[in-house]
Amino acid sequence: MIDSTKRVWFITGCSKGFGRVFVEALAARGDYVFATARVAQTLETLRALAPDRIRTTALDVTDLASIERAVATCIDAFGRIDVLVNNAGFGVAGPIEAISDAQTRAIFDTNFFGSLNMTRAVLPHMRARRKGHVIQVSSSHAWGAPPGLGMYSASKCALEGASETMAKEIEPFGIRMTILQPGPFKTDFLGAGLQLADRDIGDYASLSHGIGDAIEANHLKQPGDPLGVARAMVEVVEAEQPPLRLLMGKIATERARSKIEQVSGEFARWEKLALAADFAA
Amino acid sequence: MNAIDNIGRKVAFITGGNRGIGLGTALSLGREGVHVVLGARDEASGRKAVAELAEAGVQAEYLRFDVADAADHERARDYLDDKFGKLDILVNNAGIMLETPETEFNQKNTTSVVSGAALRGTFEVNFFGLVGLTQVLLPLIQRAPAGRIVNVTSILASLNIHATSEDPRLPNHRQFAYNASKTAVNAFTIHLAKELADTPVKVNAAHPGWVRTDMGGPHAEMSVEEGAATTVRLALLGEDGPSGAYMHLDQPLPW
Repeated sequence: MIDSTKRVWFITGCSKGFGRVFVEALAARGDYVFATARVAQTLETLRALAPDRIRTTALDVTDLASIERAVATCIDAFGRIDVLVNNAGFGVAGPIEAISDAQTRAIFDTNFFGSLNMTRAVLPHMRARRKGHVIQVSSSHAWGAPPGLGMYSASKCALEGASETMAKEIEPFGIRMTILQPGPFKTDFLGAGLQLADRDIGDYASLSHGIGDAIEANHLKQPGDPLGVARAMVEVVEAEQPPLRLLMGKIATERARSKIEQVSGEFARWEKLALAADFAA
Repeated sequence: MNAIDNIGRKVAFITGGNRGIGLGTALSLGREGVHVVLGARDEASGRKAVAELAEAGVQAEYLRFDVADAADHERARDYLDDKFGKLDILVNNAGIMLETPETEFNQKNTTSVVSGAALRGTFEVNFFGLVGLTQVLLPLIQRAPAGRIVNVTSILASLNIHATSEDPRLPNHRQFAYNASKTAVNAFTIHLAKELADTPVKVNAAHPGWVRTDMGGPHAEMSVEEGAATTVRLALLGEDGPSGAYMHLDQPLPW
């Protein structure tokens, strides 16, 4: 029988980056963690941190059967899931036109469908207990991205769009939803895991060059501390009234503010035309 | 914001960008999403300008820069190369007028009395500095997809106008050193434009108008924002825009 005063966290994408830091931080708090990644071997050192409270398993969020098995294994081990953290995801860099249909579907498969299917697999267990918290690890780029990160932004926008409404649908069951929107954080996001557009279109040569330069300038020099996100996540889960969205990092707040200002300004400038589209009263 | 947020963003270097038409240009370009680097000698006013621009939502930065100092040309090039790897827009705006009522010169026509020192001093900034800087930055400008060089000259650079115009204001504006230095920049503009004719880089000269700045004085016709309009237009020209043109707003001027 596990300690009912501690939470059970189910986390995807734990081999590195945010996921790994989340597991380390939560284990240190004495919570139970079900840590998953595509390759189980990458989780061995995590399991060793607290073998009685951390369980690990291989999980590919793009595979429905894999999701089903992992959730069942977690319920078997811990009896419940208090918090689902949909963290598994990766980036694609390049002009949208230069990203093939196959590559587009692959990023949506993980970043959107993966998180969505994980949520659908865990919700029945949370509804049965009339409590739970789903955390979507999104991105400040859901507020908009510069040229080159549009497809990544799109995958996160899709996730946020679904999550925002889902939040209202699951609220009556005592289940909470929070979308984390990190800015640039010191992880491997811009490293080996970052895919580049798989097509080469000459007209975008200068932009592609700029993208490459920006990636190099930022990789492992990002100002964000993943531990800060882990701490914030705990605070959000413990809050009486958690936010729907939480920006993480100063640059994230600047991006969001800039987008809000731009949208507000444009809305004001074109409001008259907007209002002229209805049938006369 | 960081390097990721600047992907695809144009970068402009504006000499004398801390005040007057330069600052007005920075504000207008910044509002179009251009990242502006203000080059100026005075650090205090440069930093103040950056703060004002930030308040207006413009991304700007200050680089200590003296257009008459060749070492500063190289420093500017190295800074822009390191930080951006390219330069989309060069606004050669820094300029001086040494012939003023405060000196012993008659404001109206200084030709027979302007000293060698004043002539050389004026040309050092307005012509030699401008040409030298442009030459040093040209490789960076060529690395941009559509480089734009805007030389802020003046209607007073026009030999044609001095020779033929009946405008009653003109006789008060025969400051020989200043005007001739601007005529020389017009020559640089056409020659460079011709040299770069088969490239994506466009080079043009702008007459801002008579503008209410420190140089133009409080009784001038145009606000700083209006005065920057020609420069901004030439900085943001599309692919089918002119090169080797001498313009005020959308009107070509006679050379």
